[in-house]
Amino acid sequence: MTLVEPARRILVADDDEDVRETITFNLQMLGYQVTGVGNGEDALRVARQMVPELIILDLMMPELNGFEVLASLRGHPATREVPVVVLSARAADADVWDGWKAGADYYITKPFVLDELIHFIELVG
Amino acid sequence: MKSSILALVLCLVALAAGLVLGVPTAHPSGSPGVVAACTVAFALAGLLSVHLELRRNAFTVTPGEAVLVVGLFLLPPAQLVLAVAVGQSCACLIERLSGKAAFNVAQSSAAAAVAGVVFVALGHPQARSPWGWAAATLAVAGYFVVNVGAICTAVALAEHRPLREVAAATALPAAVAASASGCMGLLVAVLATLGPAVVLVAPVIGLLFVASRSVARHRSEHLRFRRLYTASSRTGGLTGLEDALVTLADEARLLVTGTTALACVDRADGSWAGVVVNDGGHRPATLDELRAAQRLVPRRSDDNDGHGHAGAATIARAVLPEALSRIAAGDVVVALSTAGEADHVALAVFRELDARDQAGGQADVLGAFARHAALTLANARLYQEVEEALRRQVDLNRQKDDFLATVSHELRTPLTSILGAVDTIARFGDRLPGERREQFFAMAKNQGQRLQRLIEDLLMVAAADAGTARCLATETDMDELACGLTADLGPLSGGRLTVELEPGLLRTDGEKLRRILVNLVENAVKYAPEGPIEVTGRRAGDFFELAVADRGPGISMFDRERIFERFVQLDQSSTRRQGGTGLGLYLCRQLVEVLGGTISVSGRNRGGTSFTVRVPDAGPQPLPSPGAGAGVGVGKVVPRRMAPAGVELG
Repeated sequence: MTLVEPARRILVADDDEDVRETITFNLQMLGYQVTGVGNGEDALRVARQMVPELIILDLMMPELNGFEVLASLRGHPATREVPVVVLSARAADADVWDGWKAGADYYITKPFVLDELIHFIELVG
Repeated sequence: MKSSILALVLCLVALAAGLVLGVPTAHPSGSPGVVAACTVAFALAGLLSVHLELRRNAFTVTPGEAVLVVGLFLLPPAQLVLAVAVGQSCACLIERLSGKAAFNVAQSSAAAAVAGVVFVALGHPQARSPWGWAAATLAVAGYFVVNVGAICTAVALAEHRPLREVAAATALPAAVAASASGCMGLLVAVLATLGPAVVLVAPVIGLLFVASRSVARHRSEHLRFRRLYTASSRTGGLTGLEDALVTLADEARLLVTGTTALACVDRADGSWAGVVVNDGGHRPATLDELRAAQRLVPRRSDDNDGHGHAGAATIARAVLPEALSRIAAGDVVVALSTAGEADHVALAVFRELDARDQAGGQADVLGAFARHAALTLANARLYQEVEEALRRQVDLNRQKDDFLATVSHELRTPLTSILGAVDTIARFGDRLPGERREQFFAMAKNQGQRLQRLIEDLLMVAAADAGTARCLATETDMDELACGLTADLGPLSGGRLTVELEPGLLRTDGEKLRRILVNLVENAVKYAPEGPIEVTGRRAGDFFELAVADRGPGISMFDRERIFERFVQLDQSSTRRQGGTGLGLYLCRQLVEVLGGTISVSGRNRGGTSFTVRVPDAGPQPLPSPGAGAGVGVGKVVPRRMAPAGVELG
């Protein structure tokens, strides 16, 4: 007898459609339940609705940027504990440091290797 | 006259009257002839004056003590005071010192009354006895104390300066002059008792007078140079142009005891700026005043000693231009100086003081100060230039940092998609459904093309910046260009693009022109999310005029100047909706310059933006150097000098 776990829910927020599509496809193939959004406001709204088990967050997004989304997530009791992977093309040391300070659990710079992202997701799970 | 000075005059008059009327004397009255002779002698002594200047006021050293000593032996106090008062009044009338006559007469009378009463109190002795000499000396001392005390008090009241400071500046020359005159008078009095021998004293009198005059003059020069030194040290470190002008004018005013000063500077770029400073404060000089001051300046070409021109002169009120004579009363001392080849400085100071014998000296001092002023102003200008250059450099550095971050971001974004797509295909291999595989291949290809475009843009900008971009003019078919644009950009614009170009051949670099239009259309697609995007073009003489118009939110007047600059993206925030490096419009401008044309941007009536590109037929003639293309001034930001204080001339 096998214990069937419900699929783990992951939210992907990135305004670049191709990136969002690639991540979504890969994670779905691995059995995750993935929701993709294209701007910060949607990211925050969906995150509060579905309370995902992990959020993959871009920093440069329209409406609300990643830092603002991160701050709001950390300020809300429902989403305070959700792990957040920041995925950004802002690759300078100062940017990475800003991401850590804002409360990211992990910071991946674009371009990235899918294995790194998947490894972290499995580690958290 | 100020009320405090009036009160002082009344006190002195009361002192004189009280002493004369209140102290009885046994000495017989002198004959009218003696009184008249004394009066004339006092008047003459009043004319033999030496001026000593104290900022705004001057006091006069006269050999009055000499006459006083003789008068003491001949006349009772009442008649002595009468002779002094009348004699002093005459001297004031002759010298036209109307403004100060009341004070001068009052203080001389009071001093003479004190001297007379002291002499009477000591027994009114005879001239030939040692006791008589001592009494006369004490009387002169009393005269001196009242005299200098009254003058110092008046000056301190008029100029709001501490009494001690005024007294320190005046006491020494006054004491030297008084003792010299007193001795002279004593000698005359003693010799007079011997009869005609009194004539022998004439050369001695002359000598003493010259000596006292030179002491007073020396003291006056000393005071002036000390003022020059302190004025220079106070203005040395000024860095703001307006501050410097105001302070220099104020110091120049104090330096030559003037009421009002005009300081103006003729800058290297040909603009004049100036300020007028008086007791009430300062204001910018008017255009007329500056022009008049320019004409006044003594330009002596023979005085060019390698340090630029310098000159100074005193100019009588009668010959002043009207614009200047309206500024203030009095004659004007003007000085000009130049620091090297750069800024000319002109100082004009209005003086009410009547000090004819020292006018030359005043001009010299002002001339010396003008040299210093020119250096100070040149210094202030250099400081401002360095500050401005530094600010620009910091600004440019910041722009470059922003640009580097943006380019890094823009390069990473397509690369992420390419690597992600390839990674996905590799990861799942045959497990990938066919249409998915196609999708990821297409993604990799599109993003690869995006990356290629970006790199081409960067290289083209670099080439244009380095001046290696050339216009390769060929016959370009405008119909073909229009079809190409519609085909390439139609899908991207979502069918909003219309292209209407007047058919025909244009001799220009077709590839660069296409690139310009592609950039402008892509820009419109990015920033005008809805409404038609129209590309139109028609021949206009030797030029072909193209316009790319959209119905987007438009660009503010202020930003229209900036958008063609390198690295500028109006929205630099991290929530901006549009990517891009900020090179698009800069590249357009560079390419248009290479083609020898112009580009400009304007707003449209019902909202939206319209870019207009004019390119010449037959290519550019001659080949323009990038960044300095003749006639390509549109969008170029011309550095504007900071408006100097006051009014600019020319």
